[in-house]
Amino acid sequence: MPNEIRLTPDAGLVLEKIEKSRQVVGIDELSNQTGFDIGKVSSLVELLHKYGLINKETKEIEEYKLTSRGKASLKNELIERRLMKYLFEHGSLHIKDVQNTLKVDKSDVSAGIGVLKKEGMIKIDKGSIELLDRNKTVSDELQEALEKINQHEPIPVEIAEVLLKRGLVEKSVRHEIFISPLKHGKQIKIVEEVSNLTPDLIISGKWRNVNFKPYNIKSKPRIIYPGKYHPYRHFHDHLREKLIALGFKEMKGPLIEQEFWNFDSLFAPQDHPAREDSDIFLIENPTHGILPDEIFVENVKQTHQDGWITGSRGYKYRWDPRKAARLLLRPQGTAISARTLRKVNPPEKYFSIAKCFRPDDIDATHGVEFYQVEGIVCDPSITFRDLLGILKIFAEDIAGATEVNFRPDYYPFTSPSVELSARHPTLGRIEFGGAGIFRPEVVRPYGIDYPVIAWGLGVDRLFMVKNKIDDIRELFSQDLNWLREVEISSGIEVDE
Amino acid sequence: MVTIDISIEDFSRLLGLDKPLTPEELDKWVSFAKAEVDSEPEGPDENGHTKISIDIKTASRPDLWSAEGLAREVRGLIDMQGLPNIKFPASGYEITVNPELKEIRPYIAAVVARNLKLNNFLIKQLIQVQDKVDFSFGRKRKRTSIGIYNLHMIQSPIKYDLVPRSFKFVPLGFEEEMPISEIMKVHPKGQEYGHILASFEKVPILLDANGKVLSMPPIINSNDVGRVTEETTDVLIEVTGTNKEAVDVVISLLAQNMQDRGATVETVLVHYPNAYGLGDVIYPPQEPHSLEVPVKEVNKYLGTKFTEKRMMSLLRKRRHDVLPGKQKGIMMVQYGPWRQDIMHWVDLSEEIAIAADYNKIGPSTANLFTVGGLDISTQKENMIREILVGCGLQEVINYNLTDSKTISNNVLRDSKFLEEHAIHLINPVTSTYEYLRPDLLPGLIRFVGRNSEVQFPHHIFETGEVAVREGTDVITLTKAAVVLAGSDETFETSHRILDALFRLTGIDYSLNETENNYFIDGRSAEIIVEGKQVGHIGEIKVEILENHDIKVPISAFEIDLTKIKKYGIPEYRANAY
Repeated sequence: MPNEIRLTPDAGLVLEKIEKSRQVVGIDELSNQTGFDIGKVSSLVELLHKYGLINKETKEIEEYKLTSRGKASLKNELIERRLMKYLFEHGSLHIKDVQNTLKVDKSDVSAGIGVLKKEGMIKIDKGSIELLDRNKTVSDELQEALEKINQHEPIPVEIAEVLLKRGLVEKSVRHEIFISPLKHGKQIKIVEEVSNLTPDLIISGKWRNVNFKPYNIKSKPRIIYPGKYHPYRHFHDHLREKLIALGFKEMKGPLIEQEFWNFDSLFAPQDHPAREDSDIFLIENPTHGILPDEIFVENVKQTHQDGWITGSRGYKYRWDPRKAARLLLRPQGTAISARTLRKVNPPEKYFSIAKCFRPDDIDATHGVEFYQVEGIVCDPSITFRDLLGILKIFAEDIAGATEVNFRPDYYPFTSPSVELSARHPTLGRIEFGGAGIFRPEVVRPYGIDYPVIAWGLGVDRLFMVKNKIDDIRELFSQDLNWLREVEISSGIEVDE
Repeated sequence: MVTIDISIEDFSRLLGLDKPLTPEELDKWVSFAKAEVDSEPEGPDENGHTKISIDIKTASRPDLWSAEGLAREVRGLIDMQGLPNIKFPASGYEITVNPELKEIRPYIAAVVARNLKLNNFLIKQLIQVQDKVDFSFGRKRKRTSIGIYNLHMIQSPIKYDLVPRSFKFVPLGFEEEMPISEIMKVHPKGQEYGHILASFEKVPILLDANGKVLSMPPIINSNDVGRVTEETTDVLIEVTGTNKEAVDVVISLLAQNMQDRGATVETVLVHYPNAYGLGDVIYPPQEPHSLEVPVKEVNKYLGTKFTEKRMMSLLRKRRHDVLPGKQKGIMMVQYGPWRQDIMHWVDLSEEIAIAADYNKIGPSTANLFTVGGLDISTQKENMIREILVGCGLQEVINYNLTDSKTISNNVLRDSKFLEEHAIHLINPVTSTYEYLRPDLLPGLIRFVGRNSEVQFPHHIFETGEVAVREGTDVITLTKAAVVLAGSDETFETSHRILDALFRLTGIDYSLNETENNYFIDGRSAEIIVEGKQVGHIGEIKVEILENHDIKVPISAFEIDLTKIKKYGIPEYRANAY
């Protein structure tokens, strides 16, 4: 029945009152008539108007409103009246003391004194205010006007001008609603209103005869904190996704490593500066591990000493197995690649996201703990130019960068070595990673006689820019508010 | 990495350029020497020098740690190809070596440079190269150290000798003669480097023909001979050390620097005693080193198609000479004695690629189909993380390094555990980071304490690596921990989550009541899986909450995922491979 309108009993009552009035009514009046509060009447009127059952017109009404100073003058009386009272009792008062003695606002003092002077009630002698005529009194006009404004009653324009000038009142605009009946020709059905849809209403079928109380859909919901991944780990998850998509297999290794895998295997001589105690974390107990009982250890030793069969000159020193067995906290992820070399079966590509540790003065750009993203590519046919190609794919596909640029770089375990920088649409030029071909001295001890690419990516900067972090300590944020509120991202790209 | 300060104007002149480079041009040129500009330019000063810092990445190329050396390398790409001159006339100066030095500091090399026009700037540059080489390549003077003297005050032959610690001389910066034993205690350099000689009764000394002390290598020069000023025109530079190759490198790079500054460089003859088996050696080394480089292999390695002729030209641009090899297709590359970093032909293949410019060689695309995948431990960890996030928990990450208080006093572990299983660093940076965490729970409870002003409840979890010692082995384990902090939390609220976790990953488990020092008695249980204890669950003791100023109950559990066979997460051991 298209012409039937279902109303709640309350809405019906308001409609009835409007129709009964046969003329224009206001919200206040309806509130009085129905006993509903103004807010409720307003929303019901809104509803009736939406259904086309009533006329509703909103008019702007200009009126005066007391300022804070006006309110004070209403409560404590205007300054001129208070000054007169004081002068009646004390005879005189110095201008400088008016503000403090009467506890009034400074800006109204001269206006008050002006009124009294104009009326000839006071004179000012060397700054002292003297009462002239004890028989004159201040007109009540202004004080009464303040009272009227407070009651929303009209006041004469010339009085209002004076009050405006003295900053006691200001103009404001009020919206008043005028409601009148309308011939709508629609059938009205009054039905019960419910707040919540209950299983009982559904099962019993009662829902057909009720109206659902409308919600205020504009009001804010209660805030909830859903379960979330830590943004930095989530970033690593997304990075893993990318690398897997490029055909890389993940590798893992121990946090505490033997120097053998971290240095000797990577052809770092045993007196290399990076192996000094000040550059690595050593553990108290046990201090040493046990070297693998394998031929590759002997191969590494020979390679260090005289180059073995690698074609290298070697370092020409006595290699110390005890030094190689020393335990340390993994300072570089490449240790994991070194472990992987002994079991590769080409073609294979590997990556790891490895927690690493290095002693450093802790500040906004240095931590003692950090992650390294690195890996290897093994294939007998691979060349240095292929390595450049892989780095280019990393820059474009992982970081969304363009215009790659290659620079010679140095790692003790690769030759040639290269640094990749790229132009990023948001970040500008970034150093994005480094790579190289493992030296024969690194791979031959494991029976590998073809080039193996070693690569590393510096991606933390992407995460930091993405999340507006400028202190690397915040990668491991301990701020629960931040973790709850930080936006969830869909990948590692930095938004433009 | 080594950082040096250079003057842009001086460097540009060393490159033979008419006007100074811009910092951008400078950065591009030094990139071919594996270096980069590391500061904003400063100046020019009143002598017309604009200072700028350069980072040189190569730890094994001390010849690049000076303006002269960098320019020598880069100039190959501009206008000076081939090996620089390494043949010098004899100075007539000679050094004899005491055979007993063989066990202490065996090697010495020296060079004479005449007609040097020294000014304050050059003296500073000279001191810079001395400092950088002594510190890094010289391993803080242990392996090599450099001494510079006013030649006019020295009579040949010089004696590299040994003296007892009672021997007296005036060390640089002092007025009075003092015994060496005193110098080691009082002089700043004695304090800094004295340890290098600590195990020897006698110490090395350099004396001229009249017995005048030049220096006590590698600690300190004498006050008169060992002082170089703007008036000095002729110098003797000497290098002592424990490794002959390293000494060769340093003396030859210094000779090159002097030559590049326009000095007349002359050799010094060192008479090694018979016990060394070296005979008389002329310093700096007068012959280049050489290495055979196979053309075909280099092209295969790089993915290039250079002709032999092109390769020879590229190598000359890197300041090497190239002679035809014994066979066709093999080049005989001759390189300076300062290049001991060249160990294999792959090093020269890199130089060919650098001279050709990586960006001009350009990338190629390898057709390399491989199957990617996650490590099993990541897969299983992700599975656990998915369930816990699904339970409405916030993931948290903490550092692996922690302090003893967090591990023991506040929660979980006693001092016996610390001693037997926790991994303690010998050289922590601060006591805040002196242990590797053996558990995740303490970090999570500390997290709640740090966020006590943030609206409760806190439902948080962490999965990740921890490390423990077991006997003589150290093991990296993967754990998972859950902390529920809030006024409504009870044993049952975290038990619900544990139950969901195991139910959804197909694990049968049971709880055994237990007592310990971190969970409230009667609300504390061991988690048993596959007949083994794999973790704990319970309500955290109030003393621990008080330690962290936490005013709500905490219900928590931690499990060692590596202990659950069904998950298949490996332990990572330092000794396994």
